Amino acid sequence: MSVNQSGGEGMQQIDLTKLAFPQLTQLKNQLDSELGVVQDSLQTLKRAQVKFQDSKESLDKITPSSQGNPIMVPLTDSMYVEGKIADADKVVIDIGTGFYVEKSIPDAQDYFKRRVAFVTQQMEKLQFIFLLYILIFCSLIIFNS
Amino acid sequence: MVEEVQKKLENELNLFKQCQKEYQKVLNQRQLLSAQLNENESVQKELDLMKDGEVYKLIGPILVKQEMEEAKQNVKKRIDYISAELKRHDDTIATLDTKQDTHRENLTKLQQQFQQEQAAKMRA
Repeated sequence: MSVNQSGGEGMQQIDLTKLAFPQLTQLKNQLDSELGVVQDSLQTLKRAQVKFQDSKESLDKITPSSQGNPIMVPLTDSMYVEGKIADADKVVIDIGTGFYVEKSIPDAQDYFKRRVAFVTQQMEKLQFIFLLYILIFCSLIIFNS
Repeated sequence: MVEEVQKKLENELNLFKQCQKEYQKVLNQRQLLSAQLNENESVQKELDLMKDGEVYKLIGPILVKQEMEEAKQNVKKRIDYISAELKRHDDTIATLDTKQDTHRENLTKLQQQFQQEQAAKMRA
């Protein structure tokens, strides 16, 4: 009975039958905290995914015909001023580290599509790792009982 | 004799704990750096994908128009800097790793010595 643990460099094989009880507890605690990190990361990714998806969907509402439409611009969370859409063809997007780029609506939609795809891909990777941890936990429980 | 070994043991333990603290600190910094590197790299990819259109840089609360070339150069410079910092941190982590291992070895040795001394005292 053994557990494969991926530590910094290479794999480290641990023979569970050779571990004393305190060491088993320590291993369990370590796995617990690592699992917590994975779960937190998954949640953060989920939030990012929703944010990008929302941004992409809100672009659908800006069509060439909305040029000149009146809008309420938020100055603060609770105060709005009236404005008009001056340019319905282009939007400015935050691409990270303080850089903003001007993009046409289709290009912007493409950008958000790419971002959602990237985040989804990262989530799939993490979900796989998550499953691995669950497997390790199951083997620990079986071994302990 | 026992007191002497105990003192040494405590001293070594303190050093070890200090080492662990430092290790954790550097590790956290490294994590932050690698997150920054990822963000900068995705910005670089995005800038490379741009054909035309304006680039703005957020300075305080305002967006300042920037030349595409200048923006690309700035991102590249930052990636180089962060990569160098990452390498520096990796080296520090490696040295701290070995330092920690020697402390751990010393601790085990001292612990054994302590037990032996105590047993000897009991017999005496």
